Formats: sequence, structure tokens, C-alpha cells
Amino acid sequence: MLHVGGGAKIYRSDGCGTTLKIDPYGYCTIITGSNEIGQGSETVLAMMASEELGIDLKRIKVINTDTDIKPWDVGVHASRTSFVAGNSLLGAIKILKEKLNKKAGELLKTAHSEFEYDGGEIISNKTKEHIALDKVVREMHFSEPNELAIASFFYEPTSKFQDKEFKGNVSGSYAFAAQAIEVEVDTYTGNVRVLDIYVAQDVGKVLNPLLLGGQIEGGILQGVGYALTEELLMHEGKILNSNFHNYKMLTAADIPNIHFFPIETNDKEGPYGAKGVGEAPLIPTAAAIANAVCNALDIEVIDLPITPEKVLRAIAEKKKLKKEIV
Amino acid sequence: MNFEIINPGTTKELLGAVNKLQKEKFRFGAGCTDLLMELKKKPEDGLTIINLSQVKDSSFSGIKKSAKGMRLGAMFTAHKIVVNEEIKNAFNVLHESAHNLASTQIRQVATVGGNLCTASPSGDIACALVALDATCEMLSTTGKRREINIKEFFIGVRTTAIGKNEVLYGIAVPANEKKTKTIHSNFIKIGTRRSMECSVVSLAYHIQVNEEGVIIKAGVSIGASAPTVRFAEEACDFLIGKKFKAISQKEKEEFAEKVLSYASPITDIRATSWYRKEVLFNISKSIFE
Repeated sequence: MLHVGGGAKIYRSDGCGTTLKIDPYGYCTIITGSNEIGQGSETVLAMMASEELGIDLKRIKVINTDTDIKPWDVGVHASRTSFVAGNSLLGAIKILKEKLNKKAGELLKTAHSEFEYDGGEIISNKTKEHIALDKVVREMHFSEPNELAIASFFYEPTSKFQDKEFKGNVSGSYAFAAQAIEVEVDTYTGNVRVLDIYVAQDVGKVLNPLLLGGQIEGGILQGVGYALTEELLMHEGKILNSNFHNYKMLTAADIPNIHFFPIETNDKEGPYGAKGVGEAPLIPTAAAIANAVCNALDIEVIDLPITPEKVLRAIAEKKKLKKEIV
Repeated sequence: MNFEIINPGTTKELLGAVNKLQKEKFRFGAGCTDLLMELKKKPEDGLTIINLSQVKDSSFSGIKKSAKGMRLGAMFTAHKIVVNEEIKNAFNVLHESAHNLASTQIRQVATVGGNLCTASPSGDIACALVALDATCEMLSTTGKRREINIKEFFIGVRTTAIGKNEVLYGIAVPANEKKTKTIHSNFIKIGTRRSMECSVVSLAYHIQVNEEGVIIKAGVSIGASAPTVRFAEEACDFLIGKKFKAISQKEKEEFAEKVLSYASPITDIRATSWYRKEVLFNISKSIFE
């Protein structure tokens, strides 16, 4: 499977804006265009800022809910948030650091401009002399020429909007994945039970292993639902199952054994080499399940979801065909 | 959704409330897991809900074992059935039906009485209790107790034999036969996912076998296959006197055909009639495999 891994230009811009500020007490606020829908982008963005600025995670706040103040972002989709919002944040950090480095150099009376940020301190790479980050921010603000520790950046991926034939290098990064799935089919009921799913996926550089695991497991269960149960039933233009009682999303009780083998790579476009991981785990799943069912029963399944009824009908038809041949 | 609510604290108060509302529209609310959904879909004007959950009466909410069998109060919850070891050992079909009901959260409040009085063709606990040949005990506002076999309790889809001046008070499950050595008792629920599922088809069976391996009593019932849960009497009679482990392929199929003769399933968004029949036949056979 090949899918986009962040920065897919399905709209004319796939960019993301960030406004970053550090206050005189050393607290950092990230105002990001991206959203949090449970995927953990708040955590990942705060981790990046902490890594770059040496500010404790507890002192970092992510503002991502107010469209009156947020810069542009196109939305949470296409496995893009860590990739696009991460690059945007790193861009803002770079600008802010240039300001902070300049002031830190002045205060430490050093001519060179290479600094490390660690434990709330700005440390000279050369002399190892250091000064508290919040002190530098205060000096920027309260001495002439008075300036705030604030920076804005807009990141636009290098990808191109697709042409009129829907072709082109549409994504900033691409994800690759393969899945092998073992199923058990009850030939009395037509029920397909997914036993084991083996997942190999190119995930770029792993930023947060726990969140990565969550994305993979959640994605896979969606993929299993897509394969086996999720279906909008229509009759004369009306949806018959417009509720979660009859539109069957799977639950925690249905999770198969998931064996995840992350393939860690370094994506040259992604923040720290990371790439989007959210969608790839649910794309190969239905096809692999369908292939497994075909393999188990020697029947062909080409219509999703593979409901128990479709399986039972396929078995019945196969029996009928055999009888006719005999 | 707009309704009045009455919260009786004793059985006397409960019967008093029922008596007072004889000329009004009222409904009982036990766990309210079905009732609230129904009222949300179809709100009724001028409706009073009699909330049963505050009634303090161990005969109404507890369990009692005797030589005759086991009696569950109508307010006994699905969760309490699941965790009761005696039920699991003696009437596994009831245990399994409760265990397969909805989700852990819903099982905490859903009651056995509610499952019966909703009279859904796909009621899981209802299906198990029909296989167990249970007796329903009603209490009327006159103080009279009336007992009927569960087979006569279900009249049609969402219709029961309960009178307007009656409350379902308890359900009695007869003890297993003295000569019973082995019990084959289970609940087969067919659906597409493993929890939060409404049965597409269900089959409950409770088959008692003596020391010689001969079937001496059998209860088989089907759910989601007819307007009510149904007791497959001819299929049960067919088994009596046969050795459980020596039932032939032909007999299995004959048994499954007899079970199927009680089914008149509909086609709805969950499954077609064809599928329900096919599966019912197959799972009936599977009892002996």
C-alpha cells in the first residue's frame, strides 16, 4: 500500500500557520492552525517545542481551538497534522531562536551565535556560559529596543496541486504499509472473525511510540469495520441506519491481536524525519481480510462489507455450483 | 420527551400508584434501557412513568433458591445474573444470555423483568427463560397473585399477557430433574459484533441428560425469528429418549427442521429472512457437534 504521509495538496494550500510566544516567566504558548481530534497532536507539538527550547512540558500550552486567533490550517485529514503543523512550529521556533540568540549573545557578552537550549537555560556552545531563558525574554521586552519574544511562521509543503488529469507529485511525504491477516470463518453463520493482524508500516521517525501505537490500533479497527460491518443502508434515497445502533462500528471487544512492526525511516521533508501515520493502517486491512476470506473458503468477495449473509450466500452458491457440475 | 414520574418506595406504594393510574396512560420504568430510547423516538403526551428502581422489596429485586428451583425478582439485573455462580452452574443458558446482552454498563441496570415486559422478539434473557420453561408471577392491585407459563406470556411484538392492573413480580425457573447427570445448556447469539449487539437470530437450549446419556428433558427456544420468542416444542419432544452423543446426522437435520418450523422471520435492515432461516438451521444442528 502507498498512501500520502503528510502535506498532500488536495486543496490549493496544504499549509499550516503557527504563532509562538514565550512570556517573561518562561512559559511558552503555541498558537497553531492545526486541530486536536484525539490523535495527540497537542502532545507531539508540545514535545517538539520542549525539545527545541529546553522548556519543561508543563510550561507549554497549545492553543488550537479558537478560529478567531488561529492562523490558517486546512484541517485534520490526510495523515498530515504532525507533518505539517510540526514543520510550521519548527519554522516559528527557528525565527524566535534567532531573536533569543541575539539577545543571549549580548547578555553573555559573546560574539558567536551558537546556543543550546536546555533546562530553561540558553547555553553557549563554545564557552558553556549560560543564562536563564526567561531572563533573556525579560531583557528583550524591558530594555531598548523593546521587543516581544514572539514569532509567526507559515509552512507550505513542496507538493503540487494535482493537474486536470489528477496527476502530479501531490504529497510532501508518502507512507508505505503491508498487512497480513488471519481470519476464521464460521461456515454455519457466515461470521468472519479476524484473529491476527501483522502490520509492517513505514512510519518515518517515531516521535511518540505510545501515540503511534494508538494510531495504528485505532486505524486497524476502523479498517476491520470497513471490511466487515460498516455500511450505510439506503432505500429510495433515505438512509435506513442513521444511528450507531444499526450502523455497526466495531467496539473494543472486537479488536483482533495486532502485531505491529514499525519500519523507522527518516523522511527528509518531515519534522525530525517523521511522517504521517494515521490513515495507512486502515487502508490495506479490508483488502487483506477479503483475500483471507477468499483463501479460507475458495470463494470470491468483491463487495464490502463482507457481511455474514454475503458469506453464507457465497457458500450456498458454491455448493449449488458443485452439485450442478456433478 | 416529557413525562410525569412516580417513585414508589414499597410494593404497597407501587400497587397504589398503579391503581390510581388505571384510567391514565402509564408505563413502568425498570432499567429504562429500552424505554428511554422508545420515548425519544416516539414521545407520548400525558404519560406517567412508574419508576420501579426505588421499590425496596427483596421478592421484587432479589433471588431465592428452593427445592423447586430458583426465583428471580423482576428487578434482578442482567449483571447479577452474570455474576451468580449458581445460575451459571445450573442454568448456563440464562447466564450466557445475560452475558451477551448489550454492554457491561447497560447490564448494570437492565432487568430480567424489563427484558420480558419489553417483549421484543429478540429479547435475549426472554429467550433463555422460555427454554427453561419458566413461570411468570404477576401481582395485581387487588393483591392477587397470578402465575402463567412464560410461553403464554408473550402475545405479540411488544405485547404481553400482563393486565393493566398488574405488575410482573418475579420469574421462577424450575429446578433441573433429579436424575439429570449432565446438562447441555447454552445461548447462541448471532450478530455482527461481539458487544452492543441486538440479536439477528438467537437460539437457547437447555437439555438434560441422565446417567445413561439419555435426554430426559429438553427446552429449545428461538429469538428474532418470529413475532415473539418461541418454544420449539416438537423439536424438544423429538429429543426425549435419544442418546445425546449418539444423535445421527439425519436426526440432527430432522431436529433442525423442527426448530425451523417455528420460525417465520422477517427481512429487515439487520438480515434477510433467508439468512435467519439458514443460520437457525445450522446453529440448531451445531448443538450436537
